[in-house]
Amino acid sequence: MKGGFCMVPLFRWSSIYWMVFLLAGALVGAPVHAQAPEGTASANDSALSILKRTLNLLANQKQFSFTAELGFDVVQGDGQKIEFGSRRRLIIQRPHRIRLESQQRNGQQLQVIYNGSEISFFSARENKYAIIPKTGTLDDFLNVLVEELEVEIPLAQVGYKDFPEIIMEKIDAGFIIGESTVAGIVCDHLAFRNDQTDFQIWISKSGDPLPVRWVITYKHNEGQPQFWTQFIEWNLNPKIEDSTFSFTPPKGAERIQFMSQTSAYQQGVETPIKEDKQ
Amino acid sequence: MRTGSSLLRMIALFSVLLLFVYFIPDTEARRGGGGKSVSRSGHASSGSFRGSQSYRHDSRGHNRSNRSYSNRDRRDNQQDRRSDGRDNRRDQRDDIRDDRRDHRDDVRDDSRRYRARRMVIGSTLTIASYDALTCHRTIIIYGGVTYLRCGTVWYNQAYSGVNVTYVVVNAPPGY
Repeated sequence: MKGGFCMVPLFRWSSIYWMVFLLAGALVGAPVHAQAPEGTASANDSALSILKRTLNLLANQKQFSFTAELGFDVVQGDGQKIEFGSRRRLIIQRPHRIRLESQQRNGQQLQVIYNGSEISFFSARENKYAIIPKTGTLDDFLNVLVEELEVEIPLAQVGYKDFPEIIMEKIDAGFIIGESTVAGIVCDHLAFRNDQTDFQIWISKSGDPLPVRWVITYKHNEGQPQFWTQFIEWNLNPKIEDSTFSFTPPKGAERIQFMSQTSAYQQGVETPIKEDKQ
Repeated sequence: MRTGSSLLRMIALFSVLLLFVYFIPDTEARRGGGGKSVSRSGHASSGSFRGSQSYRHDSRGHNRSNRSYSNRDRRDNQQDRRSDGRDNRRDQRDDIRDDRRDHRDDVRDDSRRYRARRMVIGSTLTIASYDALTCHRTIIIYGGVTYLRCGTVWYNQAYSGVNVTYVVVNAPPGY
Protein backbone atom coordinates (compact mmCIF):
# COMPACT_ATOMS: atom_id res chain seq x y z
CA MET A 1 0.00 0.00 0.00
CA LYS A 2 2.80 2.41 0.91
CA GLY A 3 4.60 1.75 -2.27
CA GLY A 4 1.39 2.11 -4.19
CA PHE A 5 0.68 5.44 -2.54
CA CYS A 6 4.09 6.74 -3.60
CA MET A 7 3.60 5.63 -7.20
CA VAL A 8 0.52 7.76 -7.78
CA PRO A 9 2.01 11.23 -7.11
CA LEU A 10 5.18 10.31 -9.02
CA PHE A 11 3.07 9.41 -12.05
CA ARG A 12 1.14 12.63 -11.74
CA TRP A 13 4.27 14.75 -11.50
CA SER A 14 5.82 13.07 -14.49
CA SER A 15 2.65 13.71 -16.48
CA ILE A 16 2.86 17.39 -15.65
CA TYR A 17 6.53 17.46 -16.66
CA TRP A 18 5.66 15.87 -20.00
CA MET A 19 2.77 18.27 -20.56
CA VAL A 20 4.99 21.27 -19.84
CA PHE A 21 7.71 19.84 -22.05
CA LEU A 22 5.35 19.15 -24.94
CA LEU A 23 3.67 22.56 -24.59
CA ALA A 24 7.07 24.26 -24.61
CA GLY A 25 8.09 22.17 -27.56
CA ALA A 26 4.94 23.11 -29.43
CA LEU A 27 5.39 26.81 -28.68
CA VAL A 28 9.04 26.78 -29.70
CA GLY A 29 8.74 24.32 -32.52
CA ALA A 30 5.69 25.68 -34.29
CA PRO A 31 7.14 28.97 -35.45
CA VAL A 32 10.36 27.26 -36.51
CA HIS A 33 8.49 24.87 -38.77
CA ALA A 34 6.25 27.63 -40.00
CA GLN A 35 9.16 29.83 -40.96
CA ALA A 36 11.53 27.19 -42.23
CA PRO A 37 9.98 26.79 -45.69
CA GLU A 38 10.41 30.52 -46.27
CA GLY A 39 14.12 30.04 -45.75
CA THR A 40 14.92 31.60 -42.41
CA ALA A 41 18.49 32.69 -42.08
CA SER A 42 19.40 30.06 -39.51
CA ALA A 43 17.65 27.19 -41.25
CA ASN A 44 18.99 28.27 -44.61
CA ASP A 45 22.52 28.50 -43.29
CA SER A 46 22.40 24.99 -41.84
CA ALA A 47 20.93 23.50 -44.98
CA LEU A 48 23.39 25.38 -47.18
CA SER A 49 26.36 24.34 -45.08
CA ILE A 50 25.39 20.65 -45.39
CA LEU A 51 24.93 21.01 -49.15
CA LYS A 52 28.16 22.98 -49.57
CA ARG A 53 30.12 20.33 -47.70
CA THR A 54 28.86 17.69 -50.17
CA LEU A 55 29.47 19.77 -53.28
CA ASN A 56 32.95 20.78 -52.15
CA LEU A 57 33.79 17.17 -51.36
CA LEU A 58 33.02 16.21 -54.97
CA ALA A 59 34.68 19.28 -56.46
CA ASN A 60 37.93 18.64 -54.60
CA GLN A 61 38.00 14.93 -55.33
CA LYS A 62 40.72 14.08 -57.86
CA GLN A 63 38.82 11.01 -58.91
CA PHE A 64 35.51 9.38 -58.10
CA SER A 65 32.88 7.14 -59.60
CA PHE A 66 29.19 6.51 -59.09
CA THR A 67 26.37 4.39 -60.38
CA ALA A 68 22.93 5.95 -60.37
CA GLU A 69 19.44 5.24 -61.55
CA LEU A 70 17.64 8.27 -62.92
CA GLY A 71 14.16 8.95 -64.13
CA PHE A 72 12.25 11.89 -65.53
CA ASP A 73 8.68 12.72 -66.44
CA VAL A 74 7.80 13.68 -69.98
CA VAL A 75 4.46 15.44 -70.12
CA GLN A 76 2.76 14.54 -73.37
CA GLY A 77 0.74 16.89 -75.52
CA ASP A 78 -2.49 15.63 -73.97
CA GLY A 79 -1.15 16.15 -70.44
CA GLN A 80 -0.36 12.52 -69.70
CA LYS A 81 2.83 12.11 -67.71
CA ILE A 82 5.16 9.27 -68.72
CA GLU A 83 8.42 8.36 -67.04
CA PHE A 84 11.62 7.49 -68.86
CA GLY A 85 15.09 6.99 -67.46
CA SER A 86 18.38 5.18 -67.46
CA ARG A 87 21.13 3.79 -65.33
CA ARG A 88 24.37 5.74 -65.41
CA ARG A 89 27.88 4.93 -64.42
CA LEU A 90 30.38 7.76 -64.33
CA ILE A 91 34.10 7.66 -63.62
CA ILE A 92 36.02 10.92 -63.40
CA GLN A 93 39.74 11.45 -63.06
CA ARG A 94 40.65 15.10 -63.04
CA PRO A 95 41.84 17.09 -64.83
CA HIS A 96 40.82 15.54 -68.14
CA ARG A 97 39.50 11.99 -68.04
CA ILE A 98 35.93 10.81 -67.89
CA ARG A 99 34.01 7.67 -68.79
CA LEU A 100 30.23 7.74 -68.92
CA GLU A 101 28.05 4.70 -69.52
CA SER A 102 24.31 4.88 -69.92
CA GLN A 103 21.94 1.96 -70.03
CA GLN A 104 18.63 3.22 -71.37
CA ARG A 105 15.35 1.54 -70.44
CA ASN A 106 14.66 0.90 -74.14
CA GLY A 107 17.69 -1.38 -74.30
CA GLN A 108 20.11 1.11 -75.85
CA GLN A 109 23.54 1.31 -74.27
CA LEU A 110 25.72 4.35 -74.80
CA GLN A 111 29.31 5.00 -73.85
CA VAL A 112 31.29 8.24 -73.90
CA ILE A 113 35.00 8.36 -73.11
CA TYR A 114 37.26 11.39 -73.00
CA ASN A 115 40.96 10.95 -72.30
CA GLY A 116 42.28 14.45 -72.84
CA SER A 117 43.04 13.96 -76.54
CA GLU A 118 39.89 12.52 -78.11
CA ILE A 119 36.21 11.90 -77.46
CA SER A 120 34.71 8.55 -78.40
CA PHE A 121 31.02 7.76 -78.53
CA PHE A 122 29.59 4.26 -78.94
CA SER A 123 25.98 3.10 -79.32
CA ALA A 124 25.59 -0.63 -78.77
CA ARG A 125 22.23 -1.14 -80.47
CA GLU A 126 23.56 0.03 -83.84
CA ASN A 127 27.11 -1.17 -83.04
CA LYS A 128 28.51 2.11 -84.34
CA TYR A 129 30.97 4.60 -82.92
CA ALA A 130 32.52 7.97 -83.64
CA ILE A 131 35.76 9.56 -82.54
CA ILE A 132 36.74 13.21 -82.61
CA PRO A 133 40.08 14.67 -81.54
CA LYS A 134 39.72 17.23 -78.73
CA THR A 135 42.06 18.51 -76.08
CA GLY A 136 41.39 20.34 -72.85
CA THR A 137 40.04 19.87 -69.38
CA LEU A 138 36.86 18.16 -68.24
CA ASP A 139 35.07 21.50 -68.46
CA ASP A 140 36.12 21.83 -72.10
CA PHE A 141 34.92 18.30 -72.79
CA LEU A 142 31.53 18.93 -71.17
CA ASN A 143 31.09 22.08 -73.23
CA VAL A 144 31.94 20.29 -76.48
CA LEU A 145 29.59 17.47 -75.59
CA VAL A 146 26.66 19.84 -75.17
CA GLU A 147 27.40 22.57 -77.68
CA GLU A 148 28.96 20.72 -80.57
CA LEU A 149 27.95 17.09 -80.22
CA GLU A 150 24.49 17.89 -78.80
CA VAL A 151 24.55 15.02 -76.34
CA GLU A 152 22.41 15.37 -73.22
CA ILE A 153 24.42 14.86 -70.08
CA PRO A 154 22.24 14.67 -66.98
CA LEU A 155 24.49 14.09 -63.95
CA ALA A 156 27.68 14.75 -65.92
CA GLN A 157 27.47 18.36 -64.73
CA VAL A 158 29.04 17.18 -61.47
CA GLY A 159 32.28 17.09 -63.48
CA TYR A 160 32.41 20.89 -63.83
CA LYS A 161 35.14 22.36 -61.68
CA ASP A 162 32.81 25.03 -60.32
CA PHE A 163 29.81 22.72 -59.87
CA PRO A 164 29.33 23.95 -56.24
CA GLU A 165 29.04 27.58 -57.41
CA ILE A 166 26.74 26.59 -60.28
CA ILE A 167 24.33 25.02 -57.80
CA MET A 168 24.68 27.49 -54.95
CA GLU A 169 23.90 30.51 -57.11
CA LYS A 170 20.61 28.89 -58.14
CA ILE A 171 19.32 28.58 -54.58
CA ASP A 172 16.95 31.24 -53.29
CA ALA A 173 15.83 29.49 -50.10
CA GLY A 174 16.25 26.20 -48.34
CA PHE A 175 15.80 24.37 -45.09
CA ILE A 176 16.40 21.07 -43.38
CA ILE A 177 13.38 18.82 -43.42
CA GLY A 178 14.98 16.38 -41.02
CA GLU A 179 16.45 12.95 -40.77
CA SER A 180 15.24 10.53 -43.43
CA THR A 181 16.26 6.97 -44.31
CA VAL A 182 16.60 6.27 -48.02
CA ALA A 183 17.58 2.81 -49.29
CA GLY A 184 18.65 1.94 -45.76
CA ILE A 185 20.95 4.97 -45.43
CA VAL A 186 20.22 7.58 -42.78
CA CYS A 187 20.30 10.96 -44.49
CA ASP A 188 19.79 14.66 -43.98
CA HIS A 189 16.78 15.54 -46.10
CA LEU A 190 17.18 19.09 -47.45
CA ALA A 191 14.80 21.15 -49.56
CA PHE A 192 15.78 24.14 -51.71
CA ARG A 193 14.00 26.29 -54.19
CA ASN A 194 14.36 29.04 -56.73
CA ASP A 195 11.73 30.81 -58.81
CA GLN A 196 11.59 27.95 -61.34
CA THR A 197 12.47 24.70 -59.61
CA ASP A 198 12.18 22.93 -56.26
CA PHE A 199 15.17 20.81 -55.37
CA GLN A 200 15.35 18.12 -52.70
CA ILE A 201 18.48 16.23 -51.79
CA TRP A 202 19.17 13.43 -49.34
CA ILE A 203 22.76 13.39 -48.04
CA SER A 204 24.25 10.52 -46.10
CA LYS A 205 24.80 11.29 -42.41
CA SER A 206 27.39 8.58 -41.89
CA GLY A 207 30.79 8.36 -43.56
CA ASP A 208 31.41 10.77 -46.42
CA PRO A 209 28.51 13.21 -46.90
CA LEU A 210 27.57 11.93 -50.35
CA PRO A 211 24.22 12.40 -52.07
CA VAL A 212 21.92 9.41 -51.90
CA ARG A 213 19.04 10.87 -53.85
CA TRP A 214 17.91 14.11 -55.41
CA VAL A 215 14.67 15.26 -56.97
CA ILE A 216 14.14 18.36 -59.09
CA THR A 217 10.59 19.58 -59.70
CA TYR A 218 9.94 21.94 -62.62
CA LYS A 219 7.05 23.66 -60.93
CA HIS A 220 6.14 26.08 -63.71
CA ASN A 221 6.12 23.48 -66.48
CA GLU A 222 2.85 21.83 -67.38
CA GLY A 223 2.25 18.81 -65.17
CA GLN A 224 5.16 19.82 -62.90
CA PRO A 225 7.49 17.10 -64.22
CA GLN A 226 10.26 15.78 -62.00
CA PHE A 227 13.78 14.58 -62.56
CA TRP A 228 15.06 12.19 -59.91
CA THR A 229 18.35 10.44 -59.28
CA GLN A 230 18.96 7.58 -56.91
CA PHE A 231 22.65 6.97 -56.30
CA ILE A 232 23.34 3.27 -55.95
CA GLU A 233 27.07 3.27 -55.42
CA TRP A 234 29.73 5.87 -54.73
CA ASN A 235 33.46 5.26 -54.79
CA LEU A 236 35.90 8.07 -53.97
CA ASN A 237 38.86 5.88 -54.81
CA PRO A 238 37.82 3.84 -57.84
CA LYS A 239 40.14 1.33 -59.42
CA ILE A 240 41.36 2.87 -62.66
CA GLU A 241 43.12 0.81 -65.27
CA ASP A 242 44.73 1.71 -68.58
CA SER A 243 41.62 0.56 -70.40
CA THR A 244 39.24 2.68 -68.31
CA PHE A 245 39.71 5.77 -70.46
CA SER A 246 40.63 4.19 -73.77
CA PHE A 247 38.07 3.10 -76.31
CA THR A 248 38.41 -0.21 -78.13
CA PRO A 249 35.74 -0.71 -80.80
CA PRO A 250 33.81 -3.93 -80.28
CA LYS A 251 34.05 -6.59 -82.96
CA GLY A 252 32.19 -5.62 -86.12
CA ALA A 253 31.51 -2.07 -84.94
CA GLU A 254 31.32 0.49 -87.74
CA ARG A 255 32.95 3.88 -87.43
CA ILE A 256 30.74 6.80 -88.41
CA GLN A 257 31.03 10.52 -87.77
CA PHE A 258 29.76 13.10 -85.38
CA MET A 259 27.49 15.56 -87.14
CA SER A 260 30.08 18.28 -86.54
CA GLN A 261 32.57 16.33 -88.67
CA THR A 262 30.34 16.35 -91.76
CA SER A 263 30.44 18.94 -94.53
CA ALA A 264 26.76 19.66 -93.79
CA TYR A 265 27.73 20.97 -90.36
CA GLN A 266 30.96 22.63 -91.38
CA GLN A 267 29.14 24.67 -94.04
CA GLY A 268 26.44 25.55 -91.52
CA VAL A 269 25.85 28.99 -90.15
CA GLU A 270 27.21 29.79 -86.72
CA THR A 271 25.12 32.07 -84.55
CA PRO A 272 27.07 33.76 -81.77
CA ILE A 273 25.42 33.71 -78.36
CA LYS A 274 26.22 36.08 -75.54
CA GLU A 275 28.49 34.19 -73.21
CA ASP A 276 26.70 35.18 -70.04
CA LYS A 277 23.07 36.12 -70.40
CA GLN A 278 22.65 37.15 -66.79
CA MET B 1 -39.02 -14.82 -90.82
CA ARG B 2 -36.56 -14.41 -93.69
CA THR B 3 -36.99 -10.61 -93.54
CA GLY B 4 -36.38 -10.66 -89.77
CA SER B 5 -33.25 -12.74 -90.15
CA SER B 6 -31.89 -10.41 -92.86
CA LEU B 7 -32.59 -7.45 -90.61
CA LEU B 8 -30.69 -9.13 -87.78
CA ARG B 9 -27.77 -9.82 -90.12
CA MET B 10 -27.75 -6.19 -91.24
CA ILE B 11 -27.80 -4.96 -87.64
CA ALA B 12 -24.94 -7.30 -86.79
CA LEU B 13 -22.93 -6.06 -89.79
CA PHE B 14 -23.65 -2.45 -88.90
CA SER B 15 -22.52 -3.10 -85.32
CA VAL B 16 -19.23 -4.54 -86.54
CA LEU B 17 -18.73 -1.52 -88.79
CA LEU B 18 -19.46 0.78 -85.85
CA LEU B 19 -16.91 -1.13 -83.81
CA PHE B 20 -14.27 -0.44 -86.46
CA VAL B 21 -15.20 3.20 -86.84
CA TYR B 22 -15.33 4.07 -83.15
CA PHE B 23 -13.01 1.73 -81.30
CA ILE B 24 -10.18 0.72 -83.59
CA PRO B 25 -8.68 4.23 -83.80
CA ASP B 26 -8.63 4.42 -79.99
CA THR B 27 -6.99 1.02 -79.74
CA GLU B 28 -4.34 2.14 -82.18
CA ALA B 29 -3.83 5.30 -80.20
CA ARG B 30 -3.38 3.29 -77.02
CA ARG B 31 -0.78 1.12 -78.73
CA GLY B 32 0.99 4.22 -79.96
CA GLY B 33 0.61 3.01 -83.50
CA GLY B 34 -2.19 5.35 -84.55
CA GLY B 35 -2.58 9.01 -83.71
CA LYS B 36 -0.80 8.90 -80.38
CA SER B 37 2.87 9.62 -80.62
CA VAL B 38 4.92 9.54 -77.45
CA SER B 39 7.47 12.24 -76.76
CA ARG B 40 10.49 10.82 -75.00
CA SER B 41 12.21 14.05 -74.19
CA GLY B 42 11.00 17.06 -72.28
CA HIS B 43 12.21 19.73 -69.97
CA ALA B 44 12.73 17.37 -67.04
CA SER B 45 14.99 15.09 -69.10
CA SER B 46 17.79 17.63 -68.86
CA GLY B 47 18.11 17.33 -65.09
CA SER B 48 18.86 21.04 -65.06
CA PHE B 49 18.26 23.21 -62.02
CA ARG B 50 16.50 25.72 -64.18
CA GLY B 51 12.92 25.54 -65.43
CA SER B 52 11.02 27.38 -68.11
CA GLN B 53 8.04 29.60 -67.56
CA SER B 54 5.91 28.22 -70.35
CA TYR B 55 5.76 24.70 -71.61
CA ARG B 56 6.17 24.20 -75.34
CA HIS B 57 3.17 21.94 -75.76
CA ASP B 58 1.15 24.50 -73.86
CA SER B 59 1.95 27.30 -76.24
CA ARG B 60 1.40 25.21 -79.34
CA GLY B 61 -1.54 23.20 -78.02
CA HIS B 62 -1.63 21.17 -81.20
CA ASN B 63 -1.74 17.71 -79.67
CA ARG B 64 -4.15 18.74 -76.95
CA SER B 65 -6.71 20.10 -79.37
CA ASN B 66 -6.48 16.97 -81.48
CA ARG B 67 -7.21 14.72 -78.53
CA SER B 68 -10.31 16.43 -77.18
CA TYR B 69 -12.73 15.62 -79.97
CA SER B 70 -16.04 13.88 -79.45
CA ASN B 71 -17.25 10.64 -81.06
CA ARG B 72 -18.99 12.54 -83.84
CA ASP B 73 -15.93 14.65 -84.44
CA ARG B 74 -13.87 11.48 -84.46
CA ARG B 75 -15.92 10.09 -87.34
CA ASP B 76 -15.72 13.38 -89.19
CA ASN B 77 -12.00 13.52 -88.60
CA GLN B 78 -11.21 10.11 -90.02
CA GLN B 79 -10.11 11.55 -93.34
CA ASP B 80 -8.07 14.24 -91.61
CA ARG B 81 -6.08 11.70 -89.67
CA ARG B 82 -3.44 11.28 -92.29
CA SER B 83 -2.69 14.99 -92.52
CA ASP B 84 -2.85 15.28 -88.70
CA GLY B 85 -0.28 12.52 -88.50
CA ARG B 86 1.96 14.49 -90.82
CA ASP B 87 1.45 17.61 -88.71
CA ASN B 88 2.18 15.69 -85.53
CA ARG B 89 5.37 14.29 -86.98
CA ARG B 90 6.42 17.78 -88.03
CA ASP B 91 5.55 19.09 -84.57
CA GLN B 92 7.51 16.24 -83.02
CA ARG B 93 10.55 17.16 -85.05
CA ASP B 94 10.10 20.78 -83.99
CA ASP B 95 9.71 19.66 -80.37
CA ILE B 96 12.87 17.58 -80.49
CA ARG B 97 14.78 20.51 -81.98
CA ASP B 98 13.27 22.90 -79.42
CA ASP B 99 13.93 20.54 -76.52
CA ARG B 100 17.53 20.15 -77.64
CA ARG B 101 17.89 23.91 -77.85
CA ASP B 102 16.28 24.27 -74.42
CA HIS B 103 18.70 21.74 -73.03
CA ARG B 104 21.66 23.58 -74.46
CA ASP B 105 20.30 26.76 -72.95
CA ASP B 106 19.89 25.01 -69.62
CA VAL B 107 23.41 23.72 -69.54
CA ARG B 108 24.70 27.04 -70.80
CA ASP B 109 22.89 28.61 -67.90
CA ASP B 110 24.31 25.99 -65.58
CA SER B 111 27.84 26.33 -66.88
CA ARG B 112 27.79 29.89 -68.30
CA ARG B 113 30.13 28.85 -71.05
CA TYR B 114 28.02 28.59 -74.17
CA ARG B 115 29.55 30.43 -77.08
CA ALA B 116 27.81 29.69 -80.36
CA ARG B 117 25.24 27.54 -82.08
CA ARG B 118 25.65 26.12 -85.56
CA MET B 119 22.80 25.06 -87.79
CA VAL B 120 23.33 22.12 -90.11
CA ILE B 121 22.86 22.81 -93.81
CA GLY B 122 20.87 20.19 -95.70
CA SER B 123 18.63 17.40 -94.58
CA THR B 124 19.02 14.37 -92.35
CA LEU B 125 17.23 11.03 -92.45
CA THR B 126 16.62 8.42 -89.80
CA ILE B 127 17.92 4.90 -90.42
CA ALA B 128 14.38 3.71 -91.23
CA SER B 129 13.78 6.55 -93.71
CA TYR B 130 17.11 5.92 -95.43
CA ASP B 131 16.41 2.18 -95.67
CA ALA B 132 13.05 2.96 -97.26
CA LEU B 133 14.64 4.95 -100.11
CA THR B 134 14.41 3.29 -103.49
CA CYS B 135 17.57 4.05 -105.41
CA HIS B 136 20.76 2.55 -106.68
CA ARG B 137 23.27 2.56 -103.80
CA THR B 138 27.05 2.78 -103.84
CA ILE B 139 29.51 2.83 -100.96
CA ILE B 140 32.78 4.75 -101.24
CA ILE B 141 35.39 5.03 -98.52
CA TYR B 142 37.39 8.24 -98.79
CA GLY B 143 39.82 9.47 -96.15
CA GLY B 144 38.60 6.85 -93.71
CA VAL B 145 35.03 8.12 -94.03
CA THR B 146 32.25 6.03 -95.53
CA TYR B 147 30.17 7.84 -98.17
CA LEU B 148 26.89 6.34 -99.29
CA ARG B 149 25.47 7.32 -102.64
CA CYS B 150 21.76 6.85 -103.17
CA GLY B 151 20.92 7.90 -106.71
CA THR B 152 22.69 11.23 -107.09
CA VAL B 153 22.66 12.15 -103.40
CA TRP B 154 25.60 11.51 -101.08
CA TYR B 155 25.21 10.70 -97.41
CA ASN B 156 27.40 10.26 -94.35
CA GLN B 157 26.21 8.36 -91.31
CA ALA B 158 26.55 10.66 -88.33
CA TYR B 159 25.43 11.00 -84.74
CA SER B 160 22.84 13.69 -84.27
CA GLY B 161 22.87 13.83 -80.51
CA VAL B 162 22.79 10.17 -79.53
CA ASN B 163 20.87 9.06 -82.64
CA VAL B 164 22.39 7.64 -85.82
CA THR B 165 21.24 9.61 -88.86
CA TYR B 166 22.05 9.87 -92.54
CA VAL B 167 23.03 13.40 -93.44
CA VAL B 168 23.25 14.77 -96.97
CA VAL B 169 26.84 15.85 -97.68
CA ASN B 170 29.05 16.97 -100.53
CA ALA B 171 30.34 14.25 -102.82
CA PRO B 172 33.82 13.03 -101.92
CA PRO B 173 36.60 14.60 -104.03
CA GLY B 174 36.76 13.10 -107.50
CA TYR B 175 33.09 12.08 -107.62
